[in-house]
Amino acid sequence: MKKWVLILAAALVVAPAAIAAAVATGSNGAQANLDSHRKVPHFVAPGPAFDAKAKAGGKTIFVIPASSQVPFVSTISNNMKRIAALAEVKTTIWQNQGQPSQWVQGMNAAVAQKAKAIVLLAGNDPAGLQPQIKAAKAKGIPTIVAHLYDDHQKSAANVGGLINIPYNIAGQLIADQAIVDTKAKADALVVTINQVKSTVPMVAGIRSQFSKFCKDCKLTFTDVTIADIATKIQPNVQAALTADPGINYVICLYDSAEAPFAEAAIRAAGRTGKVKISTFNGTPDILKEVKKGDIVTMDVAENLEWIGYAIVDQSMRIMGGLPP
Amino acid sequence: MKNARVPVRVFDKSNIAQAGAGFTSGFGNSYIGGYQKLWGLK
Repeated sequence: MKKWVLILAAALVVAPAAIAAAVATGSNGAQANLDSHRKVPHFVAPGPAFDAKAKAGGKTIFVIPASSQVPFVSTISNNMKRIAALAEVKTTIWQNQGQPSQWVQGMNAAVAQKAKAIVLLAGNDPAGLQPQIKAAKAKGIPTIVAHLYDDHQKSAANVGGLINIPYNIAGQLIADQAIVDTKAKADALVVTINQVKSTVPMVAGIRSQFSKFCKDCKLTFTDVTIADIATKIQPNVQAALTADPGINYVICLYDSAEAPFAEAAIRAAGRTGKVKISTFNGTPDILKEVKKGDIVTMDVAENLEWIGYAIVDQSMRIMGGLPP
Repeated sequence: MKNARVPVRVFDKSNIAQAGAGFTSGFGNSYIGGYQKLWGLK
């Protein structure tokens, strides 16, 4: 921050208009990205029309959620069941508590029950299920991976279909918010969970926007594991706020997992009004905080029903012998 | 392999009201009609 101020102060002496224009251009680039994602999204057909009942009716999609205990994940699987029924497609949801051994059991059960497609939903990595995926493939059962990869990430081998999430764009947008809201004077702390595959494209998106639109801003990171979410985020953020009094934004990659703890840290540090949060996922409890507006200023939201439609569409196309 | 993808929407103080009372709305209905028409259900 001090460096930024010194650079700006020196530059203003010699070329105030040029610097002002440069800063405005930077903020404007981030602002334009935010503006283009603030409107209601339009539906774009993912492929040609087809007769869903004729192609997939009576067949079974076997869904293995990453964990049935995570509301975000169970909501998507329940949406899928309701949506698939519209086309008379059956859905079996393999209840589990997020243990990889349970995913293996689920894959084996899907083959034994002669499902027509398997969906790994929202976090179970196909790289760790290769023997089971190959066994299913040998029986003509494709494994579809939903809500795990960004488009720019390479999927594991033997995957039969993908439903990706624009994680990189989400990362760009939460960075843009910090840049615009601080008028390109961001001193941002990013809370990462590197254990989660989607963290890589999100962090790449954050770095790209800071690099393009906020070159002299400050970006620091603190990482926690999934197991440490509830115990480490608040103390880590609080320690960072103490170490760097200039921090004015906390960028939380995953809203319900991170934002409540970061918010608690900001309040405990007495920095309400000085430190804001931008985040991703669109969990209703965090969107409520956006409405409140004192700390969480923005949330990049997904729509869990739309995701359900997209997964069912992809599954029916593949079960019906159509191109994914 | 073609990747299906779903959109995201930015919510901030300027448009948070559109998320509805339960904070689950704000994506319109185009995808519901769009998919069902694509599947020959409408």
